Amino acid sequence: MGKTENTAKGTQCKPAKIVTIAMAIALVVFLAVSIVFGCLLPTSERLVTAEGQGNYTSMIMREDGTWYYTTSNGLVCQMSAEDELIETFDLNKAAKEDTRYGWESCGSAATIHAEVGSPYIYVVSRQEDTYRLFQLVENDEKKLEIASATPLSGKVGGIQEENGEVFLLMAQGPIYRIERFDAENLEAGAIASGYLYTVAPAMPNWKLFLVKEPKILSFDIIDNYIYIMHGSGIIRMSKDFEMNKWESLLPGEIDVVYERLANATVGETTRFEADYQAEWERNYTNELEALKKQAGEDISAEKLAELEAKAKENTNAKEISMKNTVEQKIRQEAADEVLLGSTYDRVAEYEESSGTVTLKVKTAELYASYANILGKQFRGAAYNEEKGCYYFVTNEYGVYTCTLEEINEMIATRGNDEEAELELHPLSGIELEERPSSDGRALFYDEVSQKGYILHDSSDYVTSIDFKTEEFLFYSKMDFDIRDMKQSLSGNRIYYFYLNSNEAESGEMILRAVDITNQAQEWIYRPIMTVAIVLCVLAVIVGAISLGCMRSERWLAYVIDVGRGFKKHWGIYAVLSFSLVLLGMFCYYPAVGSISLSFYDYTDDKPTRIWNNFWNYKEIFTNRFAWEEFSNMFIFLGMDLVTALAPPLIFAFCLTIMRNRQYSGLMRTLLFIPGIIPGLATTLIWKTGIFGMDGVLNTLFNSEVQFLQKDGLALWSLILMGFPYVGSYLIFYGAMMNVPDSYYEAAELDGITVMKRFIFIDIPLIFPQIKYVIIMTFISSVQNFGRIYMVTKGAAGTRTPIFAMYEYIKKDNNYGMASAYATILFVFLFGATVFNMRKKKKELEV
Amino acid sequence: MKKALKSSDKLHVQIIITVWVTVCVIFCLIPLFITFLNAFKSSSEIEYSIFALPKWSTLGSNIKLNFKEAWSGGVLLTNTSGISAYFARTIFLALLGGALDCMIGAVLGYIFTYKEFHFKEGIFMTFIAVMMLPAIMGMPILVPFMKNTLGLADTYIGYLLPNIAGGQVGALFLFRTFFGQQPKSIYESAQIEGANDLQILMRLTGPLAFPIILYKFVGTFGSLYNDYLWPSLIMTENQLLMPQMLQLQVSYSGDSGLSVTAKGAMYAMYILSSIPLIFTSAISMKFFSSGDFAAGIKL
Repeated sequence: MGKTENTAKGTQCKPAKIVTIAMAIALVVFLAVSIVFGCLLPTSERLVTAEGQGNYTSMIMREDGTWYYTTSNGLVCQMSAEDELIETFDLNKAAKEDTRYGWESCGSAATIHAEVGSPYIYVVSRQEDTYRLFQLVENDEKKLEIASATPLSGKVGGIQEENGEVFLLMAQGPIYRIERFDAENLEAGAIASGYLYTVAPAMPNWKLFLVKEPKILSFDIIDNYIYIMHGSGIIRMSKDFEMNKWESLLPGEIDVVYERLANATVGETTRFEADYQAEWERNYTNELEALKKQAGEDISAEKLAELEAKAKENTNAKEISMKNTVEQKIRQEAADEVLLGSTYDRVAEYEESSGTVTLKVKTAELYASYANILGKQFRGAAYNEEKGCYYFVTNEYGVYTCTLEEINEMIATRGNDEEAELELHPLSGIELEERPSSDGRALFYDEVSQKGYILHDSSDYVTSIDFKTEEFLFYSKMDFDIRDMKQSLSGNRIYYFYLNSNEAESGEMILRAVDITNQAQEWIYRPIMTVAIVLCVLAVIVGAISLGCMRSERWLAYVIDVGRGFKKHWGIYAVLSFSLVLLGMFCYYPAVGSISLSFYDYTDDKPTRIWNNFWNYKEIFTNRFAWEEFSNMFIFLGMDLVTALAPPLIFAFCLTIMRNRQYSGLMRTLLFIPGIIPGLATTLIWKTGIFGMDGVLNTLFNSEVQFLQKDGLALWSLILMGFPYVGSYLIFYGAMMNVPDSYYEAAELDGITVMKRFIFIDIPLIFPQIKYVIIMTFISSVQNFGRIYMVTKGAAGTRTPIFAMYEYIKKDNNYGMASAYATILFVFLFGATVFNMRKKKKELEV
Repeated sequence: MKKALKSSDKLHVQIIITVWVTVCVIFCLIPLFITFLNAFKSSSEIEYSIFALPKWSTLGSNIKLNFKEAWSGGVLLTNTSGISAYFARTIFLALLGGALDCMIGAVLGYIFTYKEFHFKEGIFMTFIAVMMLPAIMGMPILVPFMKNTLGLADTYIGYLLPNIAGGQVGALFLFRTFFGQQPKSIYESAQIEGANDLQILMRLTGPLAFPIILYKFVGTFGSLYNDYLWPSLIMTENQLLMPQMLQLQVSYSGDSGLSVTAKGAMYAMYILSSIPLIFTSAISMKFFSSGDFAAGIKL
């Protein structure tokens, strides 16, 4: 609208003026509200620390507000309370420079631990299977240096420092044990150690079981006992190991036994080779079964030989992993033998068959160490020192507690009653939205503030609970695959790192700091902010319209006109808005959403919306089926176009020139009959009735050809489906019937032949219909997934992009990938669909 | 019929085209023929020869067995359930979907034909522009949207809503075209007589457009009844007929690894599933066989 005289003068519309002013005020108010609440929202920032550090491995908070994290390339980084990097300590460099040990390198820093009040920071390093414990201390210049260090005999599952003693929970193969060190004299090695065991009453003697592969959830030293919570129960041990003073394994002892076991002769070969052979057979059988399943029904002898060769090849490719499996198995046996053999004299009779030790002494109270939790499964545990109780999350939706006395009492009674079960008390009023995570990292607990953070299975939400008051705090979105989480000293921030599963940067850990001051109120703040923003936009729109009314007579007239129209036709607008809402929700939103979703990894398990740098598109064009899919699409498209045009055109032409009217009518009626069979049924009839082993083709030619299983043949069989393709002749027939007779008469005078008449008169005159069929065939051919899905399921080289998309939705629930396919097809079809739309619109206007 | 013309009336031309047309029609009828033939045979008879006529002595029992198996299952293969449960549900949903489509389409068509209101063209363009989106475009997001966001997976409403949302556009087109062809004077005179919009639609325009509404209804019914893609994605518990038929085909023909087969029942199932389409075909044949309808496609 150009500037008219009216614009300059303005109108004398009072309501417009009032509305404009009101809207201006409303805009200011809503803007203020949205800014205030926006600032109150919890923030989450990715901490970008020094480059090239490798992945994060663990974190600790110190009592002075600083915090440390360790990385996989051996760095120990100190961060200030304001999340600034203060200092980087290179463990590898320091170890190399330290002349006391002469270690060339020590690999990654796997675990870091520091006790409140202790000057020491403990870091466990890991280099392949070599573990070392470093004791770090701050020197006068506030810089870290190595106080002492010691090599360890196994993987560390937990560290505790108590009264100048360091306790390490270590795994040696499947068995765990605890070693005790003197904090002031680490180099001297472990002063005492004990294995994790349980004792169960079994007639006539008590039996002792070593706990194998426990899922360790917590490791605490309380008074004279060590408490270990694991997946299915509680183990209590005496701190001085008086109950299991077993000799520890000598380094390399297992190796010696392993060598002996592995090289023992079994028949003509060694034990290792025999076991490997068995493992190979097992793998081969599995491979073959899988391949057979893939190939489908009726496998010929020659195909079977082919599959067998492929299975063999696949199995041989797994040589290393199979050897590892065998070695692991024999190693476990060796560990059992060494351990149980060495304790044989001391405590018990060793039963070879069951791998258990029968105790000589029958003193339940002394040996008892275990509490059951029947029917549940621990997924996280934390000890609350102030209340003297444990908090647990299990495989259920509650949070449970249990005092230490109850546990001790339980352990004592269990000596007399095998079935006794520890009673857990659920915290009232707390019900988790989803099950806690099952990977052993379900509960992170902050001792100082007594707050706990619960992670969930396949969810990026975190539940926070204040264990001091036993109240629910918040349930908020954080990230998937969180590996470690700590709360800052002030309690208003949490730090966590998680494994980024985003395909673009897969395997990278990301460290985040989240401000949780207002996390509990987020659920109310965020909607307020959103509503305020929406109202702002509304105020701007209404304000602009009323401003226009104030300035221009024409605007005012138009607005009044529209207003009256709305009032008069409100019923129409109501009906239309219902239809438009449906259209928006189920047509436009999914289509537009698909395009945006194609840039994310979005599956049912992990619906993340993180930009993945075109990974989906790269995957589509580089996966091993890419060439097959797109070339098939074009082959199908080409053949579909040919079959949709040539046979129906000729057929329609034949019908138009047929003199016997009754016969042509009969033929046309007969052609309607196949249409009564549902499309899917027709496809299936072709699959089994025509192409099947005892189908029409094999019966006619007395052959046994697997049309749908052979590479190459399957594709052409799919194309053959629908022969002789005359089904869509009607549109051409109708058009040809409407060609005016005068054309033919004129041509007839020139002595035109039938063929020439077809090519030079009929085809040009019904060209609009031909164009229409081409467009519709183009659109439907590219989207036709049914024939492939129902007949070959994509086997034998018949995949197409649309089939791949269906598989991604239905089988993998990977909607990101499916969206990328949909977007590519959309772009490919766009021209055709626009043409179709314009044609339809034109049709309406004629 | 076209006027007689010399060149095409030659005897040899007529013989060639008659033979050609007959051969084509026979080929088209082969799938139907083997379906009917084999629905009356036992599995072993089918394996012996797909073309052999059913044995007279066992015909009655085979028919009974095959159709009973296909309808309610559990006769030949103990772990199958037949199509009966899915049949009624699918017909109900297809009828409902067709009716809703026609209803909404008729109302929209009426509004866009006879009514003048602000933003009419813009709104109409919004409807039309949906045609630019290929049908599969929204599937990757529609599935999680229905399943996780709206929680409508496995519900009738979740199945119908997207179908109606897309279907109303086609119906709007058809009805607007048809209403537009009716003389406007009928509408105007009814208005002068004092009829309101609902009355005009129900008593005048609707009945006048009855054939076209029936045609649309039959078309929508057929396409909903035949649809495999959407029901297979959204209705996993309350399955519809087409996905169920695919599953049954796998077990009937022994593809699932079961040694027992019920191939005759498979063909019987195809015949049973065709029953509703016999009616729709009969109706659309009335419109189509003359070819007049298709001639209306203009570019």
